[in-house]
Amino acid sequence: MTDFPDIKAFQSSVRQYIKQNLPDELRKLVIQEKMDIPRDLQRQWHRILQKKGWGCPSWPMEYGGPGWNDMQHFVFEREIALGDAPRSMVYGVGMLAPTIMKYGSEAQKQEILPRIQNADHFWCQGFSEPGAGSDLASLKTRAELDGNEYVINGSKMWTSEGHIADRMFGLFRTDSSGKKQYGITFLTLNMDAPGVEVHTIETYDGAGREINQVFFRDVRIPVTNRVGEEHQGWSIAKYLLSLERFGTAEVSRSMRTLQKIKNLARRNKLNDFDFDARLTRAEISLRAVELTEYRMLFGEEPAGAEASLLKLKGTEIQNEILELFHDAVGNYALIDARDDTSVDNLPENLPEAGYIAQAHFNFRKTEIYAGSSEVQKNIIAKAVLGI
Amino acid sequence: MKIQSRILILSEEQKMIRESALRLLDEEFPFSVRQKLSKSETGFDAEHWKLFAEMGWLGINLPETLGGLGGSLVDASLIYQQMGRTLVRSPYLTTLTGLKALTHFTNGSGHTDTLKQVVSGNRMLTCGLSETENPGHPAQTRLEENKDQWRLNGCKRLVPWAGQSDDIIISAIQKGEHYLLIVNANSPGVRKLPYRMYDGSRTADIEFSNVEITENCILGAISKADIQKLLDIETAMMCMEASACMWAIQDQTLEFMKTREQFGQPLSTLQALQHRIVDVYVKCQLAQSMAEDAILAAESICNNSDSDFRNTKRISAAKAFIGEAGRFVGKEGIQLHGGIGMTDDMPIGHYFKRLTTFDRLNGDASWHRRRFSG
Repeated sequence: MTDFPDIKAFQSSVRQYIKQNLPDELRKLVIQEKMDIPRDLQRQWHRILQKKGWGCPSWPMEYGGPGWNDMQHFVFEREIALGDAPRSMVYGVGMLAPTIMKYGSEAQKQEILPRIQNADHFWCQGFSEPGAGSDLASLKTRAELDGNEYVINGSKMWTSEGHIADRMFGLFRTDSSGKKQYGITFLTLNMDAPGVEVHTIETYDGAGREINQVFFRDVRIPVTNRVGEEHQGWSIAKYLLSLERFGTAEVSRSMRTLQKIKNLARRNKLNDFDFDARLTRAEISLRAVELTEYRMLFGEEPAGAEASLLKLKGTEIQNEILELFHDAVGNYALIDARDDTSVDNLPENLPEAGYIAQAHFNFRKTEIYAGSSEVQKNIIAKAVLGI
Repeated sequence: MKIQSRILILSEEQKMIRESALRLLDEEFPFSVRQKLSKSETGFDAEHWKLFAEMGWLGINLPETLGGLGGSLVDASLIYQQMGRTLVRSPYLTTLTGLKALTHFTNGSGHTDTLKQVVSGNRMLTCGLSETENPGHPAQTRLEENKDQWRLNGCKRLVPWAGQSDDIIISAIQKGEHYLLIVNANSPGVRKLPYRMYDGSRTADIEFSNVEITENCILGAISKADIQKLLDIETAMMCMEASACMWAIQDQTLEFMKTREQFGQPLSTLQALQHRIVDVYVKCQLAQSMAEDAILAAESICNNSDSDFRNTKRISAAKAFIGEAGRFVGKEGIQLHGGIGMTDDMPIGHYFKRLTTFDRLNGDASWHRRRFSG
């Protein structure tokens, strides 16, 4: 049996700290599942956590992180979710930083890591393109070497937080003569460099400013912005994407949503036996994903590609639960909450009506991004089942 | 969230139990033998039962003083899990439940002879705790006192392997209280209506009319909660078995897909089929997590005399989930095999029958979902 003797004390100290220090304004936005959390608020929260040394939970001590073991990190993320605190700054803290630690030069570490740690720089990810979604390696945005600079032309798509980011890391085509995975180079760039243009993509749920298309016209960046070798960026990208495997199941967030549905159903779904049955079924399915995540993290055989099933099932159940939430709210969930008058007129005892529809529509994305459900199945078929 | 030790991590010794069980069952029960047994008169043979006894499997949970191995519930579940993987049907589980019920009272004193004979494989014991399809439904079978003589009247339905048993442990009601009794299956007034089940196991309805019961056969009063505990422990064992059945289906179907060619290529190269076997694989992983959680919950029920509501919920969640997931995996396994999956000569359909049986026994998925949410 694995035992973690101090973990309860650790857990309650995290819970306590969140409870006492999470700004109300931010808590409200998170409860409402808002995706466009303003930059200032994100920064404020990051710095509140950083006061305890918790801003970059996955970082080892030598880079100024807390040096937690997996269990502490797991408990921390769960408490963040159950406490209605925002997700950590995934692109800089969670993805780029560990990649720089592994592949970056000394100069890049000095330049990039402290600015992430202090939330001076917000990062966004430039991977997908209009013609390269699930088939990421077919990306075409070019970076041509010209003396000591790369010249970038093309565009990146679905760039979350592109409009508030200071920097972008991304994959660019430096050679198209060989296999498509070859000739991809990992670069970082300044979002206010001349020739960079950010256009918001409006989504059908009306989530506000969340994703963007970023255009590059003769954007010049110094060669020193390259991470790793030229043409060898694909393996760096694979490493970076592997960092995402566990968090994307969002089990803790779904657990929180279930609590909210149960509270709501007590007043709004009395004696609806079919609804109760659906809710129970969802709760049991979530439990199965939760236990599997736990087993894959802390069990005897640490998971490799098997973890794809967590993303696959985690996002499926997440959407099932949001659909239940939408149903639990009832017909007021059909009111378009983007319209101020409509929102003002909503019944006072049904605040959920102000946000649930948007969250329900918006979260369809989770089964698409970071490797769609179908891509996850391909990964399992190939890497786990060997077919 | 409760942070607790909740992952099944096996000791070296437990891994050996699991592996030696698999090796022995594989050798002794090739598919042809299983098929023959399933169509035989008794569904099982005495020599195999002796072998189980020699391995110490029957007394695995009993203390050494009673001729047992003093092993944990997890130890027992590792053996039963392998019986799922190899699809071996036998009175094994109901025997373990019967022994647990017997030792529930003062370590079985007064019945040490019976205990020892059961553990050594010389006497067959089974256990009938349910009278309806709702596990733990109050017993209607009545124990009555008449002129200083105890009499038993009533009926127990679908008691596993009762037709092959020498003794049956049952629950009965007397003046509103529940009692556990051990009844000789060949006593006058005991009528057995045996059935052969689709999964190859045997069962029987048992009618009691005016059966004479000696004081010694009344094991003692038992609360409904304690009856439920015995059923919960058994259910958790079944979850481990069913999870192993599911993995066997996954392995066999995947292997079939790699070798079976149609349209000039192996089935395993077709994406629509790849995604279906991935769905099977995912269900197997999720079910395994639930089964392991259930057996840990059951072990903590065994170790604490207090009933812990949370543990019963863990077991119900597992039973409901695996019940549905198992039937899904069974159906997919047959479909992915195509026509050959319909034949009696392929194991796949037999696994499906077992998983269907699993879902129904000890409370079906709907029943356990209601219990989980209640």
